[in-house]
Amino acid sequence: MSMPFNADEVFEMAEQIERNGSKFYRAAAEKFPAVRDILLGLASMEDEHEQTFANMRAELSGTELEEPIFDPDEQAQMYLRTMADGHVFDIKADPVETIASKDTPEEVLKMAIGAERDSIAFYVGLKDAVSNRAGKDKVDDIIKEEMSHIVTLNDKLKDLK
Amino acid sequence: MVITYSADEIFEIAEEIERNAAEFYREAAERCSNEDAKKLLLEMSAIENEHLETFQSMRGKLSAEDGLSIFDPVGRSAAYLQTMADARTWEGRVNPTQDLTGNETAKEIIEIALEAEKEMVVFYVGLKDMVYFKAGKDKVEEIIIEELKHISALLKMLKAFG
Repeated sequence: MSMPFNADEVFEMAEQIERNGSKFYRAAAEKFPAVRDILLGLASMEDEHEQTFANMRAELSGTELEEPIFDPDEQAQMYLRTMADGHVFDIKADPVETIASKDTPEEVLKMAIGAERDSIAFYVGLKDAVSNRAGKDKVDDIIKEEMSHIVTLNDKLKDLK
Repeated sequence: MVITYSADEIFEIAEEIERNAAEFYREAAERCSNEDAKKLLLEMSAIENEHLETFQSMRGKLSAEDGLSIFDPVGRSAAYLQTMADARTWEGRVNPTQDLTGNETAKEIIEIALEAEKEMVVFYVGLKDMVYFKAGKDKVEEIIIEELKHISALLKMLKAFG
């Protein structure tokens, strides 16, 4: 199969995921004061991730993702494209609107955990599709930070029970 | 956060995840009336059984010392594994088959599977960091890639359902 993802497209999507994430956390923080500080902290981290992806994108602009070592049939790129087509990430959806239907901090924390898991699943594919030169380690760092977000959200969820 | 689980226990959890996933896919296939979805679910069940064997083999090779401690016990992956291992008890969610009521449409079954696959990927990303012998890391990476392929296949199936 030959429909290589342009690095611009992939990193643009990663930036949008982070932008949506921080917007979601800020809106949720405003609606639920009980979890405000934690959510604002996570929003700031998503801002930093967006900047990291923007920098990576600027460095790679116009280049194609390198052939992944493990993946001669371009499985990683196919994975990213499938993930990107709207079923997992509807990046055009307004994250603030998704909070409207949530009535409790517990609901919004569970929703956030699901969104973090979606991000990680996308970034694991992204990491496998980019070379060391393109910043594999930076993507790995972001994956680890998103994992720590799940830990934070889970801990808070336990506190609320 | 310092992890309180041993490498042996973390591998035991990985085995349980695969055993549950294989059972879920087999059960879901039985309940699914769509032939394409049924075939996909049965194929996935077989692959999860292979993953189970891989983890069993890796666990069997852990030395007694490995079984008592874990590399990087205070790292972020360790904290994640600890949280997920704890979550199995406090949230009571040990098996995606529990989510099946028998009234799901094929599309709903695929959606449950998709969530379970994403949970597996994230858990194994943490597990991979805990494995400090290269051959083991490579095996976990292979399993992660196969789970990513499952996510691709499930998403395609969802798209076909519209």
